[in-house]
Amino acid sequence: MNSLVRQIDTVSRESASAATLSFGATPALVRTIDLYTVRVHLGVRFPTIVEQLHLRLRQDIPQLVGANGWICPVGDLFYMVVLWGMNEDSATGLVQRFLKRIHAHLRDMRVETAGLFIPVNAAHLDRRGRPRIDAIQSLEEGDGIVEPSLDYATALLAAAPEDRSSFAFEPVWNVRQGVVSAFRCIRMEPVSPAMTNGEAAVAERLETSRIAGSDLGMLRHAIAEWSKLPADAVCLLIVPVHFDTLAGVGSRRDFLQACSAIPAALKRLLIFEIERVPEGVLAGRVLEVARHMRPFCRSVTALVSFDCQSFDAIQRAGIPIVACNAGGTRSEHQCLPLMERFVERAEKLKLLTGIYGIRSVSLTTAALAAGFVYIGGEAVSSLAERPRGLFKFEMADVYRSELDT
Amino acid sequence: MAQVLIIDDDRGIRQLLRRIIEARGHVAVEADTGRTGVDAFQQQSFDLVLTDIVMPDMDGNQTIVHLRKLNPSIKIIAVSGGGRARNLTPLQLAKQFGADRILEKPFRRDDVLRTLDEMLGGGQAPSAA
Repeated sequence: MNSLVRQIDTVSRESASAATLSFGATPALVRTIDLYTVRVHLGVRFPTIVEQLHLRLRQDIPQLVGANGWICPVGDLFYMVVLWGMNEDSATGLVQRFLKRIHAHLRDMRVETAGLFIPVNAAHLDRRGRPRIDAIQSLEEGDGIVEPSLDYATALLAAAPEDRSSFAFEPVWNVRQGVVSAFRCIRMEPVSPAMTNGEAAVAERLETSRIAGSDLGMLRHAIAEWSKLPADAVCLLIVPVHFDTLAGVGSRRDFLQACSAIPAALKRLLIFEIERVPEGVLAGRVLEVARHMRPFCRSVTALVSFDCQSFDAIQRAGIPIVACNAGGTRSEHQCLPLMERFVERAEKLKLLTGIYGIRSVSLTTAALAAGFVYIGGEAVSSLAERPRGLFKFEMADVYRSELDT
Repeated sequence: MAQVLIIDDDRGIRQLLRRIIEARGHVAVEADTGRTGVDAFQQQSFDLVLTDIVMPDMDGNQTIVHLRKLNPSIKIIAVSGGGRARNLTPLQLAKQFGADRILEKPFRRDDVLRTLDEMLGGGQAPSAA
């Protein structure tokens, strides 16, 4: 984003904030408009076009909202809409008109917008002017808002090439079977810091949209690399997807549309891992998310925080495997006791356990001793650019490098 | 009187082993990780090493491999309970890596004493370092 747009962004946000806070006790309506599908749609053209888009929309906004609120860009991927003195229907109508302007400007810039779906998330400001996400939803489709199509799903998978170095595959050892049977797609850089709450809800929601785009990129990358496997090489493919991506109607719709283009042969080998299942979430929410994914895969598993205290929602949602990640900043001294407690809690609910990001021989031994059934990471075998066929693997193989030196 | 190195990340186990070893008239030195154990081994002469298997940073089997490289004739006892899962595979592998004996946790005092005596020649006249 150039400096002019950045300036608009800053000024608009400050004005919106001031106006919102001065508004006092009357609740306001808040919407966030996610442009990540536009980014996917445009690919490498996105930076140039979005800059023009921001400038053109800047002219439209006063006419659209008048004294009833503010619409301002946040970064180059989002718009925040803050409206007051309006009911839900009026707000929806206004946002739809704004979306129409986005479509119109894109068409003016010779962008094909047929099938381009732009998600909108709903929130509200409380009586103290603080943003609160009360439900994540998208507007009903209407004029100018087009339902995504299967062609669009294919386009989502094909468009916007990701940097190949962003992803890798870690081998996952099935301890009971004595075989590395799966490869798990991982990001080489964390997609976002730890989850936030409270006043940061809207910022978190914006971050969630970015994560949803990254999830889509990972799915695309995993499928592309899997398709390069030789015909006789068989392995399971684990693709993580964030819980928030699947919980938000708009981002879920896009992800599911992309899933509809997964090859049938891969569906039999694909495991979706729901990442960052929030602790304390209702089992019904997890069940709903898992149910959406099941038609596209062999199994659904869950990835939770290392020190997650309760797996009840996961177990009640019928998810058979719960996993954690030993990567990050924790020392091995800190990891060992956490491993034991994790497995103990999971086994009480008869859940199978996995642990990923295992980077050393000693952690592998500890994971084995703790009772993990699936162990993934560099200590098992080096990270790979793409999955490979399953291969036999026993505990002695963990020490191979020790013996070779 | 023999010099015995105890390597275990569990302080309670180290102290228990120390009491048993010292009651037999030997000298015990403690290390809380495989790495500190190897460091101690490089600085001092020992007749026997007791090492846990499940430890952070450098596990028992890695430790044994290092110790064997430093002193191929050192006597080593691997000790482990296999963790929560009672998975004794890593302990059983210890023999492949050069442990002379393995001892399962939880162990009894008599088991430790018998193994010590066998390794150090009966216990009546432990060799000097």
